[in-house]
Amino acid sequence: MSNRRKFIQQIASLGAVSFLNPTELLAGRETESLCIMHTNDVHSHIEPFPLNHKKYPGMGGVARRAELINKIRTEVTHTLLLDAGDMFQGTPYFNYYGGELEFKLMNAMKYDAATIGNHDFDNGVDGLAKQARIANFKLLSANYDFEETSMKGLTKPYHIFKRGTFTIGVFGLGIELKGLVDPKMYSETKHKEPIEIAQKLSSYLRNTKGCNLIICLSHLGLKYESKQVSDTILAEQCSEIDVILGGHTHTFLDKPIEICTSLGKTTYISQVGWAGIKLGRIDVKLQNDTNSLVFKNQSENIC
Amino acid sequence: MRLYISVLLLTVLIGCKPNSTIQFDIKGHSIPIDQELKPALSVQDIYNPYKIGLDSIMNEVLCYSPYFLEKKKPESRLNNWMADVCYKHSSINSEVDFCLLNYGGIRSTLPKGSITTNDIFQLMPFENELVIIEIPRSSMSKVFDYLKISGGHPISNLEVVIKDEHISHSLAQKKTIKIATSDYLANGGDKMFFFADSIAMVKTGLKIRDVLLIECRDIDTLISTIDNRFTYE
Repeated sequence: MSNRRKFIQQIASLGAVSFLNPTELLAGRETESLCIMHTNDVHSHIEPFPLNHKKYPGMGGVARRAELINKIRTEVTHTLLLDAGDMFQGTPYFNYYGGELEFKLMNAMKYDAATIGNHDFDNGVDGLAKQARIANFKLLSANYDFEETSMKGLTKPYHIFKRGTFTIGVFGLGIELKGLVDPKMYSETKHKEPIEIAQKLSSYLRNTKGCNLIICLSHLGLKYESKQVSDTILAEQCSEIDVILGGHTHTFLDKPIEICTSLGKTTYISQVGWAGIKLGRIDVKLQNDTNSLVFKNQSENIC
Repeated sequence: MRLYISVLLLTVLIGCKPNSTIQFDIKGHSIPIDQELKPALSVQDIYNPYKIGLDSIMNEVLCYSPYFLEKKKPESRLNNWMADVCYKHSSINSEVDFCLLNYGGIRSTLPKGSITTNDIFQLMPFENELVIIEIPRSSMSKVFDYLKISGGHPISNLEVVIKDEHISHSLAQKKTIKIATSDYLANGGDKMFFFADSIAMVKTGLKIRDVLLIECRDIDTLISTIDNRFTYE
């Protein structure tokens, strides 16, 4: 990938010097697509809501979600399946089985990664660690320090996924636990301020690791009236992130919100409510072309 | 002119960070998981053994409700019922001045008609214990400051009226105040940091959910009213 990019950059520079006709360069352009599927705040909702449910009659259900995911996977070559936390707590499945079933089902659906929400501590950090051992997907958290807990070694700050032309850096961010989770539940877990970590990590993933797409799995929440750190603030202050897949506020977004960052780049924030009522789908088309691209970026500065 | 454009283009290229050579076209939407989708049988097979075990416990009918109950600010039948039940059960063996729960802790609605064990689990999925916290009278100002801007939390055996910046209440003049609440809130959950001023704590040994289950088994019909215990004027 990096060789390809260098090559394209060289070609582009050449084009600039000798002022080739931009259309000549367009002939070599390659377009690939990636489909990111995502959930958040599923809260142990295994079965659909009952048909007499006031707000969501017959909605949700993990078996139907699996069917939809399978269908998309047959249609698109490159996919990612991600969850933004609070997988646990909300139905007796969690109370009686402690999250084992939730993780087994996520394994069956072949989730690629998830981050940790505040309710994932509801059986204590030890309860989370017990289930984390059976997860076949990555548990990502860049701002929870689990060194002094039984979760030590069971999470990573980030993971890089390769999908065709895409080199996707995915990292996780969790919400402040103090005042939200009982201290005896999170025990020695330490929460670190997310913004600076996100800025450094996304820049590292982009510039050192050669990622061409940066995704943040966030359980910070979409937006608050107070100054509390949220996905909106994160997008504004961390322009390297391309897509924030959020949670916590249980916000149903029909389509991603576009935030214009300080560098004039657009960052997309998505969140799909809760309880597995919806599956988020984001299609990314990556176009490696040259001159037209430069002009496009110029025009994007106005956004 | 040609030279000018070339220089401009070159400047732009050098000025761009590596990611600028990548162009994205990002489009997204959310897809409802509804009855149009067939369930994947392989996935149902994973959870069915778990479901059979749970269903036998969860489908037990406990009592009957004449109305659909949902949480609302500043108060609702559901807010009041939960706080009243917690107040009642905590004050059986201890002295309690009032009960304070949190609005965010009401996790579901209760249906009109039969109420099952499952409904109570949905309403109160957490394992929190009912505790009684004793705080000095002087700390009550923090409690009232918190309630003033909260928009409403479930309370019982207490009336508050908020008018402009002022809050008036029904609490008797005492040296210390005993508040029934959950251990989650007692530990500062939902930013109820005033519980850190605690001078004594009594653990009831009862989970809030179990208290609700006991109450529902004891009663035939769930009765709750909106009695203006939490009002903004």
